[in-house]
Formats: sequence, C-alpha cells, structure tokens
Amino acid sequence: MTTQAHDNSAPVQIGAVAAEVPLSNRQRTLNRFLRHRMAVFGSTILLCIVLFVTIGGVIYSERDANFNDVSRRLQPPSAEHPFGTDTIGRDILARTIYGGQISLLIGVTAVFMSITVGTTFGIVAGYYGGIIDALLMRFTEAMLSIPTLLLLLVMAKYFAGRIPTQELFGRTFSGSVIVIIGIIGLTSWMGLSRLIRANVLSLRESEFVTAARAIGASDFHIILRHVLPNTIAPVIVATTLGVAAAILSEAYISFLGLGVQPPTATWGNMLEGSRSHIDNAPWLWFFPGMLIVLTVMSINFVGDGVRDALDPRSRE
Amino acid sequence: MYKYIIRRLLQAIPLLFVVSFVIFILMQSSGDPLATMGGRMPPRAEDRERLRQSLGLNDPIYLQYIYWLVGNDWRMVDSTGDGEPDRYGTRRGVIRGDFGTSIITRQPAMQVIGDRLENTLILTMTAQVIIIVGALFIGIFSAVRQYSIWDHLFTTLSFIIYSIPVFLLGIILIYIFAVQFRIWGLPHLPTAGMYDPIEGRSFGQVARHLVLPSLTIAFISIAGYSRYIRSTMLEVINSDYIRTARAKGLTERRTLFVHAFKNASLPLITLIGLDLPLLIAGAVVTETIFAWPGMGKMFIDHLNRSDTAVVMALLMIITLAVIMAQLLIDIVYTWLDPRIRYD
Repeated sequence: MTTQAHDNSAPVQIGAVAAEVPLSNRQRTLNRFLRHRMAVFGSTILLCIVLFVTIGGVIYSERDANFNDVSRRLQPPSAEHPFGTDTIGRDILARTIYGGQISLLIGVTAVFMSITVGTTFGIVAGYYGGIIDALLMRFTEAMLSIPTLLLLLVMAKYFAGRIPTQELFGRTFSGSVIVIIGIIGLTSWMGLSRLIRANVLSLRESEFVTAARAIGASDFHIILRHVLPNTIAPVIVATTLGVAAAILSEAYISFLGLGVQPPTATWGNMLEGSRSHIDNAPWLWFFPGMLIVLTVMSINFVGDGVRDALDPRSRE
Repeated sequence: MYKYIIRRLLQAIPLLFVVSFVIFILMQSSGDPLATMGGRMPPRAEDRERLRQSLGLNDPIYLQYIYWLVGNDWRMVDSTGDGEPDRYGTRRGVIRGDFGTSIITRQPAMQVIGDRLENTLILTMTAQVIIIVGALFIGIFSAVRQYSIWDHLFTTLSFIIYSIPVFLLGIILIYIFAVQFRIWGLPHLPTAGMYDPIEGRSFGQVARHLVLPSLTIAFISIAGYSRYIRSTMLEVINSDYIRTARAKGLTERRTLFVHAFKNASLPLITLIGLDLPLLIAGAVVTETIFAWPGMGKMFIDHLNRSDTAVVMALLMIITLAVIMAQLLIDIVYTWLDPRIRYD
C-alpha cells in the first residue's frame, strides 16, 4: 500500500526530489525507517513475539493451553511448566502463547475496522462537506465526549453472549472475541477521521483535484486515486499505533471481567484474578503482563519510526 | 466571544441527546436488572412479572427513554403491576434534575453517586497535583538539559511506563511497596480501601492509603505529559524572542519560567483540561485494584447489575464535564495567547 501511495503522489513531489540523489520514494522512506534505532529495535522485539506465539503454537496445542488439573494449581515456574501454573492448574506458558495469538489478532483486526470506518467518515465528511460533514462531525464529537473505557464497558455488557461461538480455520473462537474486536473497532476511529477530514478539506481545493474534475473524473475515482493516496501517511501511522492501543483496550476490558471469556485465553484475561495472588504467585501476572508491555512498547517504537520515515519534512 | 460560547453551548444540547439515547438503549436492553433481586431466593415468575410491570420495564424502550428524560408525572402508570394504570407517575425526568432511582439501593441515583464522588475526587485530585508537578519538573528539566544522561533516562523510562497498562502498574507497585517491603522488614504501604477499619477514618490513614493508587494513576500520565512539555519547551527555547530576552540580560530563571513557560504551557492546558474528566473515568481500573470506594468501582458494580439510572447519571455527568472542559480550554486559550480569537 505504501508503494502505491507514493508512486501516485510522485508527480506532485517531483520538484522537491529532482535535485537530489535519484532514490525512489519507497527507498528513502525505508532508509529513514532503518536509521531510526528505536524503531528497528521495536521491530526486532515484535518479530520475536510473533515467532513466540506462532512457533509456540506448533509445540503446544490449544488443548494444552486449556487443560486444567487442580492438583497442580499455583505451581511456581519449573522445568515442566516454565512459566508456572494458574489458579486451576493450567500451564501458563501454553496460555501466554494462545493468549498472545488472540491478543494480537484482536489488535490487528480491531484496528482494521477502526481504520476503515475512520477513513471512510473522514473522506466523505471532508470531500462532500455541507450537511453530511456537519452530521458526521457532530456524531464524531458525540463519540469523543464519552470516555472510551466507559463506553467500551457498556457496549461489552450489551453484546455479551449475543454472538455464538464460531468455528474458523479449524479453531474455535469464543463469541466474546468477535464482540471485543467489534466494540474496540467501533470506538477508536474518531481521532483518525478528524485528521483525515482536515487533510481532505485542503486536498479538495488543490489544483490536481480540480484538474481531475475538469477532465470529467467521477467523485469515486478522484477520492480513490487522488485524495486517498495523499492522505495515506496519517492512516499508516494511526494503524501502527492503533494496534498497541487496541491490545491495551482488550486488556482493560478483560481485566475488569467483561472481555474475552475463558477458556479462551488472552493476555488481558489471564491477569484477571491475579490481584488476589500478588504476593503468593507473582508468575501469574508477571509473564502475560510483561508480554503486553513488550508488545505495546515495541509497536509504539515502530509507530514512532514510521511517523518520522513518512514525514516529508524529516531530514535525509 | 459571548456569541461563540453560546453557540458552543447550543451545539452541546443535541450532542447530549444523542449520547444519552444511545447509552440508554444499550443499557436498557442488556442484562436483567431483576436477576440479582431477592438474593438466593429468586422471585416467583408472577412476582417477577408484576415487578417488571411496576418498574416500567415492560414499556416500549422509546417510552422508557421519554420517562427518563422528561419524567412520567403527566401520565397514568401501573404502580401495582396488575396491568391497569392506576396513578400518575412520580418521576420528574433528567430535564428537571431527577436522574431516577437506583434499582439496587432504591436511593436517588444522584445520592448514590454523591456518596462516592468525594472519594474519587480525593484520589484524582491528588493524582492530578502529582501529575502536574512531576510532568513540569521532568519536562522542563529534560528540555533545558537536552541530550544529557538524565534526558535520555527520562525518555526511556517514559516510553516504558507509557506502555504499561494501569492495572499492571498497580500490581507492580503493590508487589514492590507492600509485598516485598514487608518481606524486607521495611515500612510497607496499605493496598486496599481508604482507611483501616480498626483505626477509623482519619487524615493520616487516608493519606497512607492514597499513596499507591494516586502514584499508579500519576505515573502513566506523567510519562505522556512530560514528553509534550519537553518538546514544546524546546520549540519555545529556540525561538527568537527567548534569544532577545537573554540578549537584554534577563536572568536565565526569569527567561525560562516567565517568558518561555507561558507559551509552552498552552498544550499543557489542553491536555489537562481534556484529561481531567477522563481521569475520573480512568479511575475505574485503579479503584478496582485498590478497592478504593469511589465512583469508578461503583460504575462497574452498577453496570454489572444493569442499574440503568446510576450508570446513565454517571455517564451524563462525565460527558457534560468533558464538554464544559473543552469550552473552558477555548476560553483560557484566548487569555494565554491573545492571537487566538473566535467568531
């Protein structure tokens, strides 16, 4: 998507690039990203975490993650259970692996939803203006003025138990996973949609859009080929940072008991109930907690790097 | 300016309608408020039906919303639950200041909230003071000593802390300052409630119980704010008028704190203003971990038992606070930066 975007916007930027080394926009962006040390560090950690949950998934089966044996409850880390066992004797290592898959899945898909909604609303409001713009922006403001966490909790309660368990790719997904993806996606698009609207408002008046309109291009064509590619940078940055925010949101709702329901593990719901075992079983919260922190932190680093790399004002 | 304020207030009215309507529908159609009534002895099916009827839960949802909004004293309602409307309703509606009655405690919703509001304000205001002082100190310090060891240390720390979910930070603080300190024989801090029930509620007790929850809230916000303050301070310090101030021989302290800080504080005002109502909402998690008897914990309890009146009242108050905070920021802006004008 990045490449396409830059190829499309190339004609506009030619003036600025002509005098310099003839590197393609894509290479320049990549170079800037690779020079951002924290971003490279973040990508490496992120890669390790992805390998952990995928390779781990090959070694341990989901059955291992959900198998409980009360006689071995609350065992400290040992050779047999490297991360220890939880309150009903489930292996924490296996659960962090499968919990990680679900947490990352929720992060990515929820963001995909929020980006779709945010971009559509932003472009439609900015491009068409008038009454549509007014209505959409009032709606955005309404959503923004309710504290997100409280709205998430109310929605989680509303949808709880309404979606049946799904079978996908040979795996069973608790309906609550889909609910959480949906509500996080539907409550996190507002910032992006305002940003894009502001961008589109200025793009709409630019010469190349007027030119496109003059040769008879349809609104759909103009939006897709001329407006969208030029406002792609904030979308990419919002996508990266949004994944971290979505993983955190899931952890909050699940920690408060309204999120993904057991036996399906997520890093968030593994922490629920660990409050009562802070002193006698620190491994209960340490491993899933550290994985959340590492993931969120490395995504934030990557997002920072992407922002700098895509910023045309940042130095070579 | 006045025209602007009035226009903004008028715009807020439909916004509150939309918000209240959506949340009301979500609340009224999720869960069963009667599920926990009667404790271990669930009410008989016909009692249950009578109860639903007399509480007005069988009315169409739009009618329930209208009752919530404008009251039902203009209409005959079925107070005995026998299916026949028998007397005029007693609710006066939100518009006339009646937020309804909690279905759990049978007290007015406002009273339920009022009892807890003070506790939440004690927690969040303490946290807010720590946040402002801490963030200003770290932000200005890092900006003045840019690229020093301390600056790098604060940068790294804030990146790490910013990625920690509040509840995990709370757990870590409890683990260090309560669990490990006790093991090491050091004076340890209490982790639950507002005061020791044996000692009774006193200033010293509340202060001791306040340390860990307020630090939990403060740390994460300090990590975010100090970054903002650092970058705006840096921008201002490198501007021409600061060079002028230095050139005309002002002391460094006066330059930084009078000339630079006033302009650098603009984004801080936005952040604090917008975050203040959210801080109260965010206390949900912290109050749950530390068993702090505030509004956040109450919100979860009443939400889980489908107590629409209390949940709605709380959400409306916070939403109104967010809108008011935004307006207030706009007004403070014109005072801090005379270049900004509305209308």
